[in-house]
This record gives sequence, structure tokens and C-alpha cells, in this order.
Amino acid sequence: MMTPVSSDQPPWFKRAVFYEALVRSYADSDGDGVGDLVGLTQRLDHLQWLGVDCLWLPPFFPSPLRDGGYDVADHTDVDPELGSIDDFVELLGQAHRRDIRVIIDVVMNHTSDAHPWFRASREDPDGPYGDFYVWSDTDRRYEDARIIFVDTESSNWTWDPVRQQYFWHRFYSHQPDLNYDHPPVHDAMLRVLDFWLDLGVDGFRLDAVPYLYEREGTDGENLPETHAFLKKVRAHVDARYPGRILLAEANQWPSDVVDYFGDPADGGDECHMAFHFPVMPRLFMAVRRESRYPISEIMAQTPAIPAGCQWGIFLRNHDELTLEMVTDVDRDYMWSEYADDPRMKANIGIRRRLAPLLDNDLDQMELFTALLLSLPGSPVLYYGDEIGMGDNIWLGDRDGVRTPMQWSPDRNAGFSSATPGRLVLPVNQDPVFGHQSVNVEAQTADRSSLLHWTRRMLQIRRQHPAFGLGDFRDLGGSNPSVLSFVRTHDDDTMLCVNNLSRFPQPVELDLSAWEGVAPIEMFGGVEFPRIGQLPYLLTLAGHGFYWFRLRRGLAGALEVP
Amino acid sequence: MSRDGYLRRQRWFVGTDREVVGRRALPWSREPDADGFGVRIELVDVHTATGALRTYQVPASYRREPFPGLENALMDEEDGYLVYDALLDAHARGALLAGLADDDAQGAGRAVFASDDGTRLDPAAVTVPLVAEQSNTSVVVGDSLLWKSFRIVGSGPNPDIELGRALTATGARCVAPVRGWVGVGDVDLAMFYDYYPSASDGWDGARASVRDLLADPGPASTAGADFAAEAARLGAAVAQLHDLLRRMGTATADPTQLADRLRRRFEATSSSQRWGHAAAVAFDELAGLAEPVAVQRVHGDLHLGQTLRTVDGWRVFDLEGEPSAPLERRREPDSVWRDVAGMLRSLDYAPWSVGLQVGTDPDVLTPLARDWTTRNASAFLEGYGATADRATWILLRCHQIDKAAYEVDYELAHRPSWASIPRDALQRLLAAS
Repeated sequence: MMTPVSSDQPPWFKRAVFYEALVRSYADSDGDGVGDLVGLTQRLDHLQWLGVDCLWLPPFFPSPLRDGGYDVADHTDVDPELGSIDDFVELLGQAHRRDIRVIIDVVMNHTSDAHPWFRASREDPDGPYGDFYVWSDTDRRYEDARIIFVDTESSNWTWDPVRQQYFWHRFYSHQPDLNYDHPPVHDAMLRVLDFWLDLGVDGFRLDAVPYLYEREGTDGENLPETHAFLKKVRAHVDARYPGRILLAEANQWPSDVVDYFGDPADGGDECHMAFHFPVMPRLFMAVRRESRYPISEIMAQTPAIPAGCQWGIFLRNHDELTLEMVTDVDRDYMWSEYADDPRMKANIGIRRRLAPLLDNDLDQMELFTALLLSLPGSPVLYYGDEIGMGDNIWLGDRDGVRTPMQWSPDRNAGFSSATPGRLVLPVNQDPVFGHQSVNVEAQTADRSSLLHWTRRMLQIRRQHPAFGLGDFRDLGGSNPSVLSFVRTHDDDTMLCVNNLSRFPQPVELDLSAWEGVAPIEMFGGVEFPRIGQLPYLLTLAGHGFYWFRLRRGLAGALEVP
Repeated sequence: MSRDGYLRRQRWFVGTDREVVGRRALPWSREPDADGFGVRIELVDVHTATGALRTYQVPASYRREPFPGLENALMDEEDGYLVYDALLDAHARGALLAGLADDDAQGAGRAVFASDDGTRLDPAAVTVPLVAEQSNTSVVVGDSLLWKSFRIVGSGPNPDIELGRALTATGARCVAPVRGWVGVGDVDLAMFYDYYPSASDGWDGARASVRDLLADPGPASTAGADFAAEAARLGAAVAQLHDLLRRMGTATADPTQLADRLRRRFEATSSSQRWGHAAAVAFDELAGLAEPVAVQRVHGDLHLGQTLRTVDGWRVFDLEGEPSAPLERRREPDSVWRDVAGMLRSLDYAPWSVGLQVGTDPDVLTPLARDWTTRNASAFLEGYGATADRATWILLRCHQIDKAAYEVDYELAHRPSWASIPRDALQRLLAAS
């Protein structure tokens, strides 16, 4: 059963491993070719076996699906293709029975133009929803706000022929922004949260939070009013549903993102968690450059966060991070690094899964996963990456990384019993990444598979609170291609040494603070030579890594009395 | 009494120096106690090859019994004492720090610690000597301070302290802030500055880039571990260093005199036999410059190994010039292009040093090494903001010739198999005339 919430325990999300699963692509229970809540429920054993603590479900609400479901047409219902509210309640119950929590997306900034609120607002300006959206007679307001989707949008204003006014949208023109200057919108959104919290969800990922308000003369991002509203949401959730979390998606530089945690004096009074966006591209840059500095730099530039808060970090997700989506600061840095590197320009700009990005190199996939699981923050795995699934670059938009989960070598990869032509997206048929070679069934049977390896890593991570709760100290060391750091929480100390180069490397580390300790390697439990006064020499295979436990009194266990 | 054998085994000892002619001891940092453990700084005078006097700083710890782990630090046996190199002896390092930290104990003839920012030394801090050392001995104190003891000392300000303090006062990010220094009378003995535990030097970074290129031969611009962006940032850091040093004063030098000095240095090298004529032509070009050459305080011995990549950018270290040169000469103004030429020479060394170690076929190595060096030298110069005028080009070339000729003789004396690196460079530099 669920661990009870207790004030002297660290909050659950600080040590949790998250797993993002797209309902539509995970498992189809009724043979209509589309994944559904019942199918996902039937696959919870896989997640429990793997060691996942919390499932994150992107939108499964009724939607015209013009933005992957983030264009919500009804915040408090389930897309009939995916199931029903009853199915969702059953999923929650089954997940909780397995000690797996569930968080869902909530899109606060905007709705689909198919949402009843918007229909009412455009048709009846004087009705109860008349002010739910940001309407204007002119498209010359808030001109300092940048256009985010520059490829498809030419303005943040779109003319509505029905109401004969412009409406404001920071994203697509079919996604009008809600008007947070209108208090009834606050109440409506809090009712949406209450609806799901009453059903038992463990929290929300808050999509696109920096853009809730508009103010003349500003860029319309991270405004004080936005933070005030988030504090209001947090107080509301804490008062009625303690232990449930808010995870902010604020694609900003870490020094701006920390504001979304709220006041450090209170341990944080806005969001419990926020994604740390720049870590991921830095990992790729560091391995490509065989240099630890891209990672060391971003860790050094990451400010401390309030005591009750946690970063969320990831390697890949449904919404591939492109150069256009990283912050201006990092984009400049990435461009200067990659100006002449056609391979990296292409890879960073294209929506790919982890395995194809890393040339299906198992050593690199393991190194990246080890980094994800050991750097500060709660890791978020993306469905399919635990078996090294590939992508389908021939599919449009972001669908290439949303192909059906590959469960078995059977027809439709075991995802659905529908005729293949009816599938929501075609199963990957690639000779290398296709479901006949890459699938859960085969990797479950193969003890040396990526799947088993990932499971083992999650087990080790679970045993050591330092990974979720510990502080982070970059050890540097003699070799610029090796990233070494120590995570410490109380008496739990983990030393992580990562070779970012494809070549074998030595590194000398100053471990004098642990003189006399014999490091224990966590994968096999092997005792390494005692740390002496001199720099500690380690050698690593290409893209190799070590996780060591440093603790006095553990050495000599192998000596015969 | 002779510390001779120990001194001659040290990297900081100048190989051509001759016999020890004297030893002066500073007052005890720690008086020998009942067990006989005592520590003090000693200055050892030797004759150089030219008969001049050179002084080495040799802190010594005295013990009655052999101390385990210090076998390689044993310098001498004397009056029933075993004498160790105190900088390699953890207890002795603590005693030295305690002596410096103790305000009351400071009297005549003692080494004195001073600081611009009120830094206090912690004698109880863990101290760890750094292994890869050349002309000095550095010790990490705690986790954020580096204690660098100069091995060759003399009367007058040490430029490393002098320039380091001046740059620290400007808040410069291109150097490590100086936190304090140690001297006795007008002799500077040591300095303390910020330590960057997570940093590594430019030489290692450049070589990591080269290894990647050699494993996957192709244009350097498409190598995964391309170094050009780092080289450009490094160039910008050196430019900042030069800008700040320029504020300490500028002067001009007569191109003829500058050319004469370089010419004399070149004629003293073995390369003068083969390249004397071509070099003379190059130096004549310098002498023929119409405008005087701007000079200022410079680093004096700049190469990739003197740079550290920290998490917030590049920093330049060891602003003391060539340690074996007399102090007053190390403080003379010079052309900034001397420093820049030093970096270009270092960027030329990097690919060849990897290729020679690995044994890459020269036919394969040559085009890759040239491409790598050209790309990274260009990036460095661009980051530095070098302009492409004729005078700059001539100064840069002459200083590279000067440096390469020195390198040839250094390699012939120490690593003959590497002599081809500067020799090939000299050929490229001089074939251009």
C-alpha cells in the first residue's frame, strides 16, 4: 500500500522515479487500434516490475487533437476513444495498489477553441463566459510578448469572425488563452483540479505556466501575477489534499525557474517540482565534446532550491526539445558549440528517441541513463526508452517518438489486436529498432538486456537516499573527459564517476576527505582499494561509469577471520 | 651536509646548476620537540652554470625516526635527524601554516603572511600536495585555497603575486583571485589563491579533442570533440588579461631593439645553423617596422598548461614569467604577441603530442594535425580579437620563431623524439619568407 504521508519523512516525490506514458500509444485493450486507459491498467505490472514510482499521463481529455491533446476541449472528462472516468478511477486504484502514484497534465494557460467555454465566450460576450478569454478590438496590445511557435503563427492575436474581436493566444491560434484577470477563471480552474484530486490523482504537471497573464510593456512571461496565482493554487491543494504535487513546466533558465518553487523561507509555496530543461541538451553536448564542462557549468549555474522542492530531469519526452525550445542563453551557447557540426545541428533540431540519437550504442544509453539517475533531481523516463525503442522519422510533427509501445515480436508489437492499418500510429518496423528485435518480451527473457539493466539501476537508486535527497559536489579531477561528483545525504554518500569519452580514460580524484574508506562499487558490490593520501586513481572503459558507496566501516568484509 | 642529491632529482631544479654553496635557515616554524619533530623554511644557494647565485626555497622537516610514506621526500640525514621536504610531509605542512597563521610569533627574520582581503589561514585544514608540478610546489588547503611555494626565489617582487594582486583588485575573471602571500624581507616565498577543484587545464582539454579527431579522421570542424569554441573563449580570456595588464602601464619599444633581442636569442640556439639566414630575414622585417611596438606587462610564459577551464570560464595561471630567468627581467614589459605566440605554439604541439604518443602514421597525422591547429589557432585569434594587419603578423611570426627555436633545444635536451614538433614548425614558419 501507499506510504503514508508523514511530516518527518521526506516527501515522496523527492525520491521518486517518474515514467511518462502516452495512453494513446501504450496498450489497446479493445482492439480499436488506439491505446486506452484499460490497456494501460493491464500493463501496470510492467511498471511495477521496472521500479517506477510515479506515472505521468499527458492529456487524455476530449480534444480535437491538433496539439497532441494539449488542446483540451473538456478538462473534466476522458476522451471516449481512451475510456471513461470509471476506467480512470480503476487505473488509479490499480496503480496505488502497486505503490505507483499517478500525476496528470493540466493545461491552465489555454483551452482548445472547441472548448464549451470558448464557444460560449465568442457567442455571448455578455454571458457568464464572456470574459473567460482575452479579447481585444485591436491586435496591437502586448506587442513585447514573443511569438513562441514562429513556424506556424505570425501573431499572438487572431481575429474571431463570430465575436468580431481578436483573441489572445501564446501558442497555436486554435488555443485561446484563458483570462486570469477574470476571477471566475480562477474558480473554474480550481474546480478542475478538485475534480481530479477528489478522484485520487497524486498531482499535476502544469503545462506552460509562465504565460498565464499579459501585461503591457512586458514579455508576458514569469509575471508576478502568475506567481501569485500559483501560490493560491498551492495553498488550495495543501489545505485540502496534502501530499499531492504540482510540477511546473516552465521552459526557462534555472535562475528564473526557481521562482516557480516560491518562497524559500516557507520551503517553497508554489510548485513542488519544476523541470530542469538545460540539463538534457548539456548531457548530449558533453558526450559529443568528450568534455565535462557543459554539464559542470549548468550544475554550477543551477541555484539552490527551497527545502521542500525538487527538480525534474529527463533525457527525452514526448515534446522533443529542439534548439528553438531551449532558452536564448543556451541556444546561443549551443549554436556557438555546434555552428560547424552538421550532425549535432541535425540531431538537436530533430525529434528523436534516445536510442537512435546514440546510434543504438548500449554503452552510451547506459551512461546517459546512469547520469539521469544520479544527477540532482527526480528522473522522468519516457515510455519505450527502457527497451531502447527507436523512432519513425517518416511520421509528421512529433508523432515519430509516439509510436506504439513494443511489447512483443507479435503482430502490432502486442500493442493491439486491430488490423495493422487501423493503428493510431504504425508500429516501428525498422530492421534495427522494429518490434521484432526490440520488445519487452524478448528483453524480459534476456537477463543482460537494457530492460533488466535499467531495472537494476532503479533498484540501486532506491536503496540510496543520496540520489534523491543529497547535495551535489563536482569533484573535477585530472581528466576533462571524466565527470565525477559526490551525492551526500546524512550518512549516505555516493561517488559517481562518468567517462564522457568513447575511449578508455584514467582519472585521479582528490578523495582525501574519505581517506581510509574502501569504495564499494554498487553494481557488483566489489570492494575497491582503500583511499589513501594520494589522489585516487580510477580507470574507466569508453563511456563507462561507476557508482561507488563511500562509507566508513564497510571495508574488509571479505577478510576471513 | 648535502641536499644535493635530492635537489637534483626535482623538476624545479635547474639542470645546469652547479654546487650548493650555502644554506640559510629561517627561525623555526616549529621548534624540535621532545620527539625531535621540527619544521623550518631553509634557503639553499647554488652556483649557476655562469657562476651566478641562485636561491632555492626548501622547507625542511626534522624527524628522529623514519616516517612511513615519506621515503621519496627524504632529503638528508644530519646530526641524528632525518630531514624531509616539509611540503610533502602533512604534519610539517600544518606546522608551516600554523607558523604563518600565528600573528604573535612573527618577528625578525620570520616568514610573514599578508593578505589584501583579510583571509586567515587555517592550520587545521587538510592539505594535499598536487602531483603534476614543475617549477613550484602547490598544495591544496581545505577545499578552496591553493598554496603555491616558489622554489626559485630572489630579492624583489615576484610577478605572480604582484600581477595577481593587481588583477584581483580589478575583480578580473580571467585569473584566480589572490588571497594572500608569504615573504621574508624583500624575498617572496609563496602565495595563496582560489583553488578550483572541478577545473582541468587547457592542455588536457585540447588533447582530448585531438584524440577524438584521430580516431575518426575527417575535417576538424566536424569532430565530435571540436575544441574551437573553447579556443575562442580562451582567446577572449587572454585578451581580458592583456587589457587589464595594459592598465598598469604601457610603453613603446623600438622595433630594431626588439628584433635584435630576438635575433640574439635565436643565434644562441642550435637552429641558427640551419635557419640563421631565413630567421635573419624575418627579424629584419620586424626591425624595419615604421611604428614603435607597444609593450606592457605580459604573462611571459603562456601556454595551454597555464590555463584552467573552470565552470565559469577560462582562467590563466602562473603569471611569473620564466622562473629560471632573473626576477627583474621577468618584470620587464614585452609585446602581448609574445603571449599569443606561446598559445599558438601550444596549439601546434597538442595534435603532434597525441600523434607521437599513439604512433599515428605521419602521412595520416600531418594533414589532421595541421587542420586541427589551423582551426583552433584561428578560433583563438578570433576570440582574442587579433587584427590581421602586417605589423601584427610580423610580431606574431617572429615570436613564434623565437619560441620554436627555444623548444627545439629544450626537446633535444629532454625528449629528443619530440624535437620534430618544433623543428617542423620552425620550417613552416621560416619557409614562408
